[in-house]
Amino acid sequence: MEESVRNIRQSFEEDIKNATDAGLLESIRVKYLGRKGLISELMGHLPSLDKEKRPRLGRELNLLKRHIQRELQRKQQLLPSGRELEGEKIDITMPGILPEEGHLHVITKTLNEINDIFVSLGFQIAEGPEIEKEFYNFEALNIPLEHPSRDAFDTFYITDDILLRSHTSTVQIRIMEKIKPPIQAIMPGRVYRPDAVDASHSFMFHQVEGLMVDRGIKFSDLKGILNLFTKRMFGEKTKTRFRPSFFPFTEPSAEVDISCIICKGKGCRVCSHTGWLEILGAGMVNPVIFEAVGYSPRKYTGLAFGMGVERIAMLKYGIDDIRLFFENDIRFLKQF
Amino acid sequence: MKVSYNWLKEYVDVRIDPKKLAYFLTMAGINVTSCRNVGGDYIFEFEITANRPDCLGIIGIAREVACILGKKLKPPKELQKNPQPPPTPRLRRAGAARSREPSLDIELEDPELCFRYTARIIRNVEVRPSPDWLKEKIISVGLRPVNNIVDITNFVLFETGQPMHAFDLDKIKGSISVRRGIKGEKIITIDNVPRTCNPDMLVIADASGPIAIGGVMGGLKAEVNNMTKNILLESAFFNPISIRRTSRALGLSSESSYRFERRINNDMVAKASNRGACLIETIAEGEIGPLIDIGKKAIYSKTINFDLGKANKILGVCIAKGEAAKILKTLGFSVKAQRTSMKVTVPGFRGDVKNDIDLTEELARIYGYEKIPLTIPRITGNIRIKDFTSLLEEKMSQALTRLGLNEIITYGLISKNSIKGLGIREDEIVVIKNPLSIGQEIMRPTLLPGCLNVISYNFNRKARHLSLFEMGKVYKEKKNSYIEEPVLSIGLAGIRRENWKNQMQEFTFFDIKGVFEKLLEEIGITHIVFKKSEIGGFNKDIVSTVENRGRVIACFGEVDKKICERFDIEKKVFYGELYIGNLLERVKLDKRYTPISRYPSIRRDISVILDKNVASSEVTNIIKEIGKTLVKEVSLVDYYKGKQIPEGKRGLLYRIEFRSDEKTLKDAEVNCLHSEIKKALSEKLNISFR
Repeated sequence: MEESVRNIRQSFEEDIKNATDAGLLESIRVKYLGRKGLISELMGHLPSLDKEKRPRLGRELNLLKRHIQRELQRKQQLLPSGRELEGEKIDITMPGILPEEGHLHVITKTLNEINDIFVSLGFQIAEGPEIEKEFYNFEALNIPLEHPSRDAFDTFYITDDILLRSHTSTVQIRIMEKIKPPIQAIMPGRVYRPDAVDASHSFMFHQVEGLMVDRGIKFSDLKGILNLFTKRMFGEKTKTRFRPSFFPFTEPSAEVDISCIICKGKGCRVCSHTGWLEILGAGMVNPVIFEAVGYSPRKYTGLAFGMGVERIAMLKYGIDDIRLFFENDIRFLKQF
Repeated sequence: MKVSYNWLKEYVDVRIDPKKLAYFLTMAGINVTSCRNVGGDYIFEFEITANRPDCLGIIGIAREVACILGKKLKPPKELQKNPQPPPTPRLRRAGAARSREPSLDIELEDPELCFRYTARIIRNVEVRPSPDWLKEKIISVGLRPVNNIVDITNFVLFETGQPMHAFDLDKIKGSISVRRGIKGEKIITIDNVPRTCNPDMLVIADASGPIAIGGVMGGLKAEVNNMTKNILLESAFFNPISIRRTSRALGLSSESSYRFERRINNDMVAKASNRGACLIETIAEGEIGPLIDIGKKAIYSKTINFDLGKANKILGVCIAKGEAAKILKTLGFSVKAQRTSMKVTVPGFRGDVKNDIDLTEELARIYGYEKIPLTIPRITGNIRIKDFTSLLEEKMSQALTRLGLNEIITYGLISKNSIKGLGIREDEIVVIKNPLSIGQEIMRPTLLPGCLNVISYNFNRKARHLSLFEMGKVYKEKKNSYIEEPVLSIGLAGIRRENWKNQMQEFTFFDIKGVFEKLLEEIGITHIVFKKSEIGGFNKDIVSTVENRGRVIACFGEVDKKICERFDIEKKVFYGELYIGNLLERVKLDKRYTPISRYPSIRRDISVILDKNVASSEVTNIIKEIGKTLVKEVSLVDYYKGKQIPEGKRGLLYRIEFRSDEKTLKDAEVNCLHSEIKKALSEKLNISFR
């Protein structure tokens, strides 16, 4: 009987040495400590032993059992656990679970970019109503009733003299009526024109208007500011060109073109092979406007400009259809 | 307007590369949109701004070219001097013949709509196809040659910018009167369309009725054709506003009306007639009669004291006096230099130039915008950069994108049908008078239709997961004033997350509630109460308003199935609006640091079974009330329904966090408080515990 205990101890020492993984360890546990294991088998023999021998052997068996338990536990901790082994087996090529992220609309993004550039140049941001008196949309801007210069401004009407503004220039007048110079502000907002919708027309779009009124504001300032703007918006290499044009509320007036960002000025489909893209209307505030709002045209001069946000976003991000902005296809929204 | 390079060369000695010329013109404000090589010629396409009707004739363009290139303008001799009817030998013969012909009386009845009317009888014309050189010119401007008479009137129009019209004299009955139309009067114009006149229109009429709509289009009745022998050549100055109105009312725009609308040059009326007559004499062998000339003969003229120093200052340049004078002179202005300023007289064809700033622009565009330097003005130093509403909107947009929502932008105009069933007051709707389509009938009084359209659009394109927001305005009419209110809308639809690990879990009411809770916390709105209420457009059982100190600031819930169906959406849509205008003064965007407690907290779970009609908020309110400052947080961590829970009840598991700001709480204290809470819950809400 003592012999058996010794043998078990020996064979266990041997087995535990060779146990290299959790599976083997488990079979060792079953072999020695299992319900039908070697230890319980010997325990089963105990009652048949001599009364003197029984306690001693019982103690020894218990010690052995505890020893085996301890050793198994110790070994278990040394080996990587079964759960961990399982974890090692994940397929790392399965796709990662992306955190949910939201996106600002590309128009908001573009507007923010435009605003930030002008804010950094000292412009403040102002807003005006979309439902506007006809006066602010036309007469106050030197666009007389029934004049061909109105052709560019087809307009949605609500009543005979209330309309949806067709440009943000209305806010210029509202600001000038409210405060005295100096003024340095940009005015972003929605405008509406009854245009049939197609790839390049929308009956609603966004504009940003700019106005600066002070003593000694010059046309060269207009050029300087807008040149800075286009470079920051479209990249340092962008060239800007000012072409004489006509707007009733500015004099002299200019259309501002940038070198085509697609072909870098070589000529392509986007720029109709001219190498230039029209992005802004601008000019010096017509003194007639100052008179109408009660500013002295002798004292003050001003510069003004206006741009279409959709147009700028289309050029900057290579978007070829204005309808995409308002369809809000989630696959479109998530790209920006 | 199309202009042939070869034709242009007849008035100015220009030999440069046409592409180069196109560039120069564009940079001087005469915008060339294309320049195409056609046969042995180049065709320029111009986009002439509304202020430059003088450039709606080739001579006007030639003047610009001459000025830019420093050349001399060479107009045809008939146009140089004011014509006294040229008594050519042939004309004298015709004069003799005329006594036998019935004379023609012309009466200008309405000098308000027609400032000046001239006409000239030309007899014995040979109507036939034009000679090739004339046909080519007519084709070059994009027209179709008709016959020599019609072609000559078009030629003069494109050469001078002065529209002309030729009537068949023998088809005119009785005398001519230039008068307002009579209501209901009919005319068939030469495009073969019957048109009805009215007193707002000016007509050229004979005894039988209108034979032309003045300045817009001639009538079929007195049209010149191959049988025509004698003609009446009209050259007039019609009221621009009247022409514009008539053209719009008839939906009829012509080369003539386009020019009259922009105001023609009165100086050209008789000259162009003379030019036309001479061409007819040469080409169609007609005998020219004297010019009948009725009405105002005054030519636009203005003398401006031009201060070059001021102009230079506004432009930020330094143009010398001599250079300035030269530029203005070649543009046709007469310049008299004085000690400090210049006296500039504006020619008749430049009615757009009225004051010194207009002259400044003339100077600048020829001098070259390119030569004006780049400067940065002194910044005026504003303090308030953004208004509070924009700032708040920006803050909320940022928060919402962090929460995984995507911003949409939808139209401000929508169809009337799309707001049906939303319980919107009819009298507050802003209606558009002249929509292009039914999609633009009204200004949106809510952002819901826009959001539903986007959801529908995306579901139709196989999207499965949509979490959207829009920051926009809604529009209302109240007592004849118009209100634009900023509103935030949130829409959730489809499955919550789309990846291989979390599938098919759909959005619920509590997802949108969570967005609102988080958002309101973000902008510092505390003390919010969610109240069940009935709101049009929502499922009446799954909708809540949000109140803050007695004011409704938002509502959200599940959109009514019927509404969704109208937008072709089968799935559930959770939608809400935050009324930004209602909470502006309550928002707190400033964040303050709250010290992190130095004492540990103790958590206790409490599992309750409560009646279905007891609200969860009642439970948490009692817990907070009993716990006072020691209860830092109560959160719902589980929700049971099913077998273990008796019928008509539900099981909720709350986790309470106890903490003191002054000391480490002892287990015994927490246990005591916890039992007090339990006692209160069971007494007040008849709650049992698990």
